[in-house]
Amino acid sequence: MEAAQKRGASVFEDLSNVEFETSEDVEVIEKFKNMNLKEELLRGIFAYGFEKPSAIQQRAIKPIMKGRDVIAQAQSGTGKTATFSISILQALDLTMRETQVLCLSPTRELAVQIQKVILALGDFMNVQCHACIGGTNLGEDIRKLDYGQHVVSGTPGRVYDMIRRRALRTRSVKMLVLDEADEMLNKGFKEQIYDVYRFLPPSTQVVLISATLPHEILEITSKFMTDPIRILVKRDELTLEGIKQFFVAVEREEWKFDTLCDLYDTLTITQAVIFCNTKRKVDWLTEKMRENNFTVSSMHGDMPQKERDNIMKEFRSGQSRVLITTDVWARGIDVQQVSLVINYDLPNNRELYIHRIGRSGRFGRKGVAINFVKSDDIRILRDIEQYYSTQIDEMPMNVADLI
Amino acid sequence: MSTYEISKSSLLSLKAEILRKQQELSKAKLENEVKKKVLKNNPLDIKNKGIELREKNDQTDEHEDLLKQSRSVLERKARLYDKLSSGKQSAENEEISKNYLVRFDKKRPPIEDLAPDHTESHKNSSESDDNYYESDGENDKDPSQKWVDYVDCFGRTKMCMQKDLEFLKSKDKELGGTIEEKEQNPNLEASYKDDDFGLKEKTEPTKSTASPNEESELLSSDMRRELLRQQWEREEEELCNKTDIHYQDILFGEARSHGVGYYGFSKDEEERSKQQEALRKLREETKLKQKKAQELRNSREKLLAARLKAARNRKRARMGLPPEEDEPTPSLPIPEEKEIEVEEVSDKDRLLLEARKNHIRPWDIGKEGVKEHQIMTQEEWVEQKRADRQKEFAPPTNYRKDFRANIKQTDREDTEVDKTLTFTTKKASNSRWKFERNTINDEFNYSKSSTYFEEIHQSPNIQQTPIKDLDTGLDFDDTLLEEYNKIIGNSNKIGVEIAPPPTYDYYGPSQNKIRKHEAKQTNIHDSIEAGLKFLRKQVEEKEKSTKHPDDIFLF
Repeated sequence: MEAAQKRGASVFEDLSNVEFETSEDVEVIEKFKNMNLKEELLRGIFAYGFEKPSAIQQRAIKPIMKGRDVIAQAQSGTGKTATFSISILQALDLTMRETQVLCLSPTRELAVQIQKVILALGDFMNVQCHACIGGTNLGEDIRKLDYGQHVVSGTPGRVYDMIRRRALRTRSVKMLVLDEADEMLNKGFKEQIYDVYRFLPPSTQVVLISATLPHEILEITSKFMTDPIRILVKRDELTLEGIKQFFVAVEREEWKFDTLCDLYDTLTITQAVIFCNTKRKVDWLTEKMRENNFTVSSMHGDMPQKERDNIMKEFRSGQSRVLITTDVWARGIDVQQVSLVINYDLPNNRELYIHRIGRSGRFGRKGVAINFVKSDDIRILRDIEQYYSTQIDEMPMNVADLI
Repeated sequence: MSTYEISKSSLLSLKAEILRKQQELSKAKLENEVKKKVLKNNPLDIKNKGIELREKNDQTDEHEDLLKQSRSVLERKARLYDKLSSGKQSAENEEISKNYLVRFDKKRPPIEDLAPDHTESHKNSSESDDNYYESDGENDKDPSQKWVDYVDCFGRTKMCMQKDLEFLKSKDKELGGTIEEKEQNPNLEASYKDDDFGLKEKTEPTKSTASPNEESELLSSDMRRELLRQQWEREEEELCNKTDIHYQDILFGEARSHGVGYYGFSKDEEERSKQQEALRKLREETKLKQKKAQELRNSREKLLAARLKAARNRKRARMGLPPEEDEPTPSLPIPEEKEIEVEEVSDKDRLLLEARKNHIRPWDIGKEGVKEHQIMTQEEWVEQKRADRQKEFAPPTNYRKDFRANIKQTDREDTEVDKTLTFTTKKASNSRWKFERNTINDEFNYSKSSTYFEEIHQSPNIQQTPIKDLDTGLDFDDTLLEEYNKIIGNSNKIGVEIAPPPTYDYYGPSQNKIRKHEAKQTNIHDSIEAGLKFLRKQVEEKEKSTKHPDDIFLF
């Protein structure tokens, strides 16, 4: 009753006082077959490797398909991208070669990945999806958009640019998806999202997706959403059972490097991602690892896009096994073989921690996260542990067995 | 056991016998020795029948001529072969090479280049060709037939007959000279070809034609990476010219496990559509066959049922019973096409749908087709006016003793310090408050109706009790409240269940809380009565209410 009252009232309401809960009447559909999806789409879903919908897919696909505004939260690696991709594909009118869905994400790599997922799921539908990202050739972007794209997946800056140049026509856009919504509505991005939103037809369907949705983000959703359906996860259920979390206590910063070298054999069992907090530190660590004859690759936002693309391809194809990177890689990137994440530096906020460790343990696979902590960092780690009601133990000797 | 008597005669005869035997033995020994000797010499001495005749024949002149002829032909062939395999492509050679099926230029010479020496020594010893293999036995007899080692001009240790040593050494010296000359002047090569079979040419090709295969095997990881990158580059370039991009185009060798149903379509558009067409046909075929199989199964079942029935009837006839009544055969459940669910839209849903349609999002205001201004409701207007109101004209703060007033008060005092130009409390307090709560400064707040009150942080349970919340002027009697709650027995909530009066709707301090409280139609009268009773009692018992109850809405 309380929840219903809240939901019913929330249409016009300010949300700062409301304790957000999952909407009450969310239907659970346990099979893709029962979702009334297009046949080609269903074929694409099974071809991509999905057999049974995950919890979020069971709940969120239907309301998005119905045209409702949706705020969907789910643990990392549980198929959020596929959730909105499936809904997008279902909503598309393929006879009309115009941009009908706009999907914005915080990093270029993520935008490209979403394009890939949409193309994969829509392979039998022959859907057209364009990745509209910065750092690429403008002319080519314009040309590609001119061909007509059903879906545009991009980063806000370039998308806004394309809209202003009238290369991207927004007349037919009926859905806006914000992946990693909390990041997209955060300080740096919110303005850009607003700019793009102002070009969309009024009352465009809006879908927000993320593994973390802090309260202040949920509050501002009333500015551009209408009575959204909320599918939320309590924060003590946000960490995955499949990802084991450990820490290694070091007394001095220099010892982190030695620890990393000792762990190298474990890193290369499958694939591993090492997070540092700054681009400079990424460069430094990469250099130092190479000096010591360890094969590593590295990526951060200061690299030219071409280089970033190549490193992504190498890592995705398994050519490189250890990637040292910044938080540009923290959100959304999906490489199935990654089973180990190392926080060389602890993340700057609690949300990033969830996203970083979520690079491993993709879609039900096992994963291990190892945090390097100096003595004064332990306090921060304990805070994270408590906040998410999870368990972060000291790293055991047999950590390789857990991967 | 008996003892033997040994006589002299018997002894003598024994002696004679031994002697005889000894003689026999020595004789036999002698014979054997001869035999042995004969046997030993046999394999070498005894020759096959007619071999001498043949040898004689071989020695004749015409045979020698033939031999020489064939030899010269062979040598010519060898020279040609060397020339071709050396990869020297003079104009005539090229013409010639067209006639051969072997691609000599691609052919790699054997790693250990023994050919010339072998032929050389062979040639040198060719005179003694016939006794070549027999020579071992004759070693002792002729010192010139002894095998000796020597080192040739290439530094290789070789073996030859003693008698040939001098000749070979001279030959070797000659060869060494030519090699030096060639090294000094490689252009002279051609002229030597007749003498020796292009020794130089043979060594050269090994250097020049390192096969590309070998290279790829020896690639470093960096090199392989570079090649991959080049390949990706090419693929990307191809993508530029394509209008339709599909999943396979942008996979770039990603290591991803797909489902069993995955079909890697061709990157070529035409091929792709063909594949899809083929798949479609296969699917249709499968469906057709499945349908047929189902029909077949159905008809078979029908037949079986009929036969069973006949059998039963026969049995009944034997027992003298009338045949079974014709029951309406339970028709087989034909899988019906799933009807598209037409979802029932309840009244509430329809209302919500309507509300959603009419709702104007703050970020949409100003867009084409959207009303420039939101039509404000009375309470929104009140809210806004209240927000614009200067502090001095607000009701005294002691009118509001609840926590909201307190927060507001402290906040206002704080912002008063910050405030420089603006008189309205709204904006300053707004941003300040947001800053405190670590939220984003909302610069795009198009909704002018948003007021300070909306932003106040409240614990959720408080919003359920607006009257209690607002009844700040009245002192509550807990017992009365309990009584009231008893009357509203079916609800375990604190607070009212009925819709607030319209006056509240118009003058209520906060628009936010209004719509939350949906009246329960069933017990509305009870609620009203209970509420009235509660208020009446309160007023009666206290009798010291300082102001009219309506005042609370007009602070």
